[in-house]
Amino acid sequence: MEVDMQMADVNTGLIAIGAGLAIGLSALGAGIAEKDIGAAAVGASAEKEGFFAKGLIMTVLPETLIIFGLVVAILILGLAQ
Amino acid sequence: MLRLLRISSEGTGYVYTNTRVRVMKSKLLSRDDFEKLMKMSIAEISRFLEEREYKKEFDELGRLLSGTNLIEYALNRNLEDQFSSILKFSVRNAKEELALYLKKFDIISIKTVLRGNISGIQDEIVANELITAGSLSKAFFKELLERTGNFEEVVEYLKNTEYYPILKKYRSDMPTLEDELDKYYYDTLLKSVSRNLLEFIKHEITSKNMAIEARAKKHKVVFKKMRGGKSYSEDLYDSPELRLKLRKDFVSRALKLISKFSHDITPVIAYFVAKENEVSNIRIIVRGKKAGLSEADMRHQLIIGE
Repeated sequence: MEVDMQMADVNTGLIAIGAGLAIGLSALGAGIAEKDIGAAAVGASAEKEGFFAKGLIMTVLPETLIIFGLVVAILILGLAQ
Repeated sequence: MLRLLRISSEGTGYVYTNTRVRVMKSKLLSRDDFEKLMKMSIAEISRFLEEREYKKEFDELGRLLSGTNLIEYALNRNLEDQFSSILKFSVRNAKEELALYLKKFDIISIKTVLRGNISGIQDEIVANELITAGSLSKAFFKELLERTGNFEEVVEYLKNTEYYPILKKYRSDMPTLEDELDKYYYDTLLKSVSRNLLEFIKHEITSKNMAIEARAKKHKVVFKKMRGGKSYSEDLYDSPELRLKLRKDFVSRALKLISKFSHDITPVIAYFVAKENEVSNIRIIVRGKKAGLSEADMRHQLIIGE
């Protein structure tokens, strides 16, 4: 009985790690994608203010990756029950 | 992980600088603008340029100069201001590499000062001709012109610069001195630029070699090629047509590189060429107007990108 409980704890822990990795890695990917876009957006809007809004939109586009990560993390957490 | 982050952040400096320069490129004069300029008088050209990117320089020099002189000096000053501001806002690796490329203007300025000194041209005129966008500042050259009299004094004043050994060695032979300064510059540059930019620099050297060889052949003097250029088989003989063709090839190659994505300073260097070309186009129009050239003759001399 005690062994079963311990195995369940390990499985829950692994699921939690999986969910963490899903959101963490997707956030890291978004960050890497955003750094160049952000740098370019700041450069463009420094020269011409009209580029500010466009630059902002372009910069946040990779944020969708985190949403995918979040969805996957929630699905993984669903396995814990 | 830290290493990964460092590697991935290396390109950011280039991205920022290159994008900012691409926006600056969009402010360069277009084909329509040049068509308009060709139909204007000198006073109208001044007014037109004043309303564009040259406002600051026209405001500064407008009190002292007028007519074609005002346009000529304002163009030089604008080049200097733009190139220095690009160096100022560039970051990380891009800044170091740009500073190295802009040493070209140190060499040009030193040559101008020495030539002015030999020909006995007034200091004020020489000072206005200088484009001090390199490592040696405007104040440095101002002091140099004020404090020195003869050629030897100019060379000695440059004692603390990296160019002094060459200046000292070849001080008695001006043409060789000029060649050696160019060679020193390109040798230093070729050692430290990226592969992409290397191609462009090699093309610049080749085009210079071709122009100098053609001139040397015309005047029957011995010519030594600069290292680093590509080989070519054309039989060259100096003529205005050949000079125009070489310049056109070089500029059109640069214009294509501005919008090309690259993780180095190639777009910025290409912008420098495009900006210098714009200034040279305006100069052709202004001088052409003064000399009474026809619109067709001026149009033939202009190099305008698509």
